[in-house]
Amino acid sequence: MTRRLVVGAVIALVLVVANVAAASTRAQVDLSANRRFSLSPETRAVVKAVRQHLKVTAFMNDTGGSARDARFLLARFHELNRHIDYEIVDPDERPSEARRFGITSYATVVVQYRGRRADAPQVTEPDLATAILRLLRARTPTVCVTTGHGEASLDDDGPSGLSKVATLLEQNAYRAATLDLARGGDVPSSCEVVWVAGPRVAFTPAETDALVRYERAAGKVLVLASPLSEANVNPLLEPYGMTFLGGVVADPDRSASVDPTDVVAEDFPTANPVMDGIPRLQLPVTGGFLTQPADETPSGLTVSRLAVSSAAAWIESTPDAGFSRDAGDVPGPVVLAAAADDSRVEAGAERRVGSGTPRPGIVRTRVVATGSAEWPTNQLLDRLGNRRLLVGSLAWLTQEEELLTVATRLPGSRPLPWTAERQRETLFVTVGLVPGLVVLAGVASFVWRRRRQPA
Amino acid sequence: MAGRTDTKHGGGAAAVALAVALAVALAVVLAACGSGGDGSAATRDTVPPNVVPERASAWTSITVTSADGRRAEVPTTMFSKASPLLTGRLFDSPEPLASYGLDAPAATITYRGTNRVRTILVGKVNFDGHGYYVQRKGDPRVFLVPADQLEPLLDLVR
Repeated sequence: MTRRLVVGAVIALVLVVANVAAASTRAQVDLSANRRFSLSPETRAVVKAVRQHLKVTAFMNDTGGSARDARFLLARFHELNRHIDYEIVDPDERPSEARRFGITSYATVVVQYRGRRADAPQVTEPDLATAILRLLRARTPTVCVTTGHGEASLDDDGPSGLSKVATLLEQNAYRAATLDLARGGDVPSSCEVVWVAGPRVAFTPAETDALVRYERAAGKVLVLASPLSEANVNPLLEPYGMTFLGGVVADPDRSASVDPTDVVAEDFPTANPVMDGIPRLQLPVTGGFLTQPADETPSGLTVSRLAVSSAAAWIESTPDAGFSRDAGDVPGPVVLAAAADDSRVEAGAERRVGSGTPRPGIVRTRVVATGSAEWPTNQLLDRLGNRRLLVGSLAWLTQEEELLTVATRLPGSRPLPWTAERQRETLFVTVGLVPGLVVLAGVASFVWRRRRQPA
Repeated sequence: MAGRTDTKHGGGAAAVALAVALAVALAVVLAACGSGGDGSAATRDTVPPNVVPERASAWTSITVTSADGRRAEVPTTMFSKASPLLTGRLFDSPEPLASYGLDAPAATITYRGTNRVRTILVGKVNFDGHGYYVQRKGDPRVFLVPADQLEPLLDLVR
């Protein structure tokens, strides 16, 4: 009895010590689905880029649950980077601070860095990361979206519109502008990225020339080609080792539905940062690309195959006649998205401030192309890794790949596309592998017992 | 034999019960100390007392006086707007009174009853214009009163 009491006391002591140790540590493990209590990889990248003291001042009612949530979130930023300091200020309790910062409404967040200030409308992870991004970048790149050729519109909040993209651009400290080349002339120099947003109608020769000139002059272009389009985007791609083949890719093994053209891409054979953190993409009604092999590309040009279909896929040459693989089709794996970086030294590319003397400098053209124009639309932007593909592409095009991307963490559903390939894997594991292991264990046990029995 | 088994089980159960009791006690102590969580201060969710808690019938006269000396009697029909004078928020550790405009109040409201007098000092409007900072005379605490309750009274001396 005494011995058991001693054992009990020892157990209690261990529990007490464990409790005290747990209470005094701040170590955390986020076991939630979607890791909703942790900062996203994109936000972490932004936060880690902060090199000097950054102060976040959140003006909010200090007595409510919002302040508690804000503290929790801001503590995650501080834990990740000790340069980031934060304070919750109750503007009612400390009106002099509210006046000093010009605060006129609750939940305003002021972020200060290197003498500059950016405001966030709420204490949410994307808003804070965007504000920090603005301060790190100290500029707002303009993304010019082509219009006038049947492209989806940034103002359209319907399923095929791009209103979610407009919000995403704003969150990521980009300025969105439309680019109407029908007016003639060159692409404005203010366009840091030109987004050819799935034109349905062909560009005129003058428009194509303007885009090609822009691209050649260290332009950054995002091309959303479409097999349903009459527009020929190859003048923008072929100088950079990519050719849009058209056709419609069918991938029965990896499609998000029974429709084999609703392609799910899972293979990303590239180290290009555009694809960082992307598990899968949903690229419906996509065409394929031909990319120049590395040993055939000229010096300074790097072509990356960003996303590739399964080997069972093909480019259907006669989609109107149905989807069956035949001799006229291009066999898989098919390149569904590609990127090119062309860096070259050109005379007169740089001018010294003051003297104005032209000097040789590096000119860098970057192009990202996808065979589908549907994936960034409102109905598909939040599917799989589509949103991340967009912010990753823009980051790479604007040469800020080490910083950018504020991708909204989407709560709730975590879709796992039920492709034919996954169905086969599941069948193998549940009907073959697991029962097989059980049977094997039984047989092994039987044999072991038989051997232990005396003869 | 049965007795030995019972004793054995009883000893084990006692040890486990002791361990659980100690762990629960510790958890209660830690929770009471506010440890754990994100380390933030506990939220203050108590309801603050009203600046003027009495009902309108407690007063025989209510007077509003502005900083520049204008004075107005509040009509008895408006007494119910002036009393009770509700508290939106209460601050125990305020900034210097000048931050709230209470170093030189914009107005003073005096409540007189049969055997009591209350004097309320009215300061600046808050940052979003939805409240006024006020103070009871002789009380260091600062109250925030909804603007829509005070505006009709202050209008009398504007």
